[in-house]
Amino acid sequence: MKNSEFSALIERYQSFVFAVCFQLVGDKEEALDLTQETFLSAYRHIDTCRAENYRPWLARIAANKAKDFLRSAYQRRVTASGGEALEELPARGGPEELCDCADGVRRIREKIDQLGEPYTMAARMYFLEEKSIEEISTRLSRPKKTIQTQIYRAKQMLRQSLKEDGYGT
Amino acid sequence: MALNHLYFDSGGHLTAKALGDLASGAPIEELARLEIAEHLSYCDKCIKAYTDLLCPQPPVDLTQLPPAQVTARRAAREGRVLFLQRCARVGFAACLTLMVWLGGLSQIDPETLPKVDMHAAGEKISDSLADFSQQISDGLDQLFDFSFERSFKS
Repeated sequence: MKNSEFSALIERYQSFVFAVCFQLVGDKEEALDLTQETFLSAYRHIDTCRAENYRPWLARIAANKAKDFLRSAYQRRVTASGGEALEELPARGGPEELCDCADGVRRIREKIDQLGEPYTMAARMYFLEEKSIEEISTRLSRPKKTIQTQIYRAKQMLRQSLKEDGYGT
Repeated sequence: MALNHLYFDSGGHLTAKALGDLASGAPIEELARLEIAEHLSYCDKCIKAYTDLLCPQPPVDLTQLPPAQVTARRAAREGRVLFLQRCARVGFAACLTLMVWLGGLSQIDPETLPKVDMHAAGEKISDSLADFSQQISDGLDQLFDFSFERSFKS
């Protein structure tokens, strides 16, 4: 694609891409940066997309950029407030331990149902059915990284809820 | 517990409320926006529903975006740098392979060679390649900017 054609594409879609970025990240300055980054990424792969699909394709790239920004900001906020980073979660002392007894399984099942989507299905498969991340990713048609993040958050929420009920530390 | 059941249905997809709140600019808490962004980044069905909601013109006041030509030029420049870096790495690897093959270095006993910090050496080579391809790209930039401006003026 020639530079002049790509410029025309930017002119046509930049307000749309900005809207997507702004609605997701909620900050105008960040949305401006992410809009630029969206078009920089799009330029590298523009030949893989048909013209009639530009709109959802650009929206997908913009959502990815927004996701990376929000994830990083959220992770920094969680660890700064004393929460555990994804890599530092201890292997023991969590919801998995309760799955060893019938009463524990029942309790975990209730807590998992209360989580709501997008966590319930992934958490059920992970904690109760002992599926691997890869299996869950395939069954739910979600990227592995997304499943990993959702399991991590589900674990945090479950741990907090169990702590409030008087289980674990 | 997160109150996200309003935004996701039992199948894990975004509800009409989620898409509506997002498209109308309603306040959504940080974690919910992250969850929505994560879902939109891979779900064809929901991204289509969301983009359809934003037609024909999204309800956002658009200011301060740089001119499209500036963004296009920057995208082209970054694309060239990446391409040249790739070519430089391939070329270097090919030269190294030829040297080893023609110089008979593969027959030397590695135990007799002096110890070298391969990681530091590799980083130094990568930095030099990056500088080299950046210099070539800067030179090409001057050439392309000249022809770019000419094509816009004509």
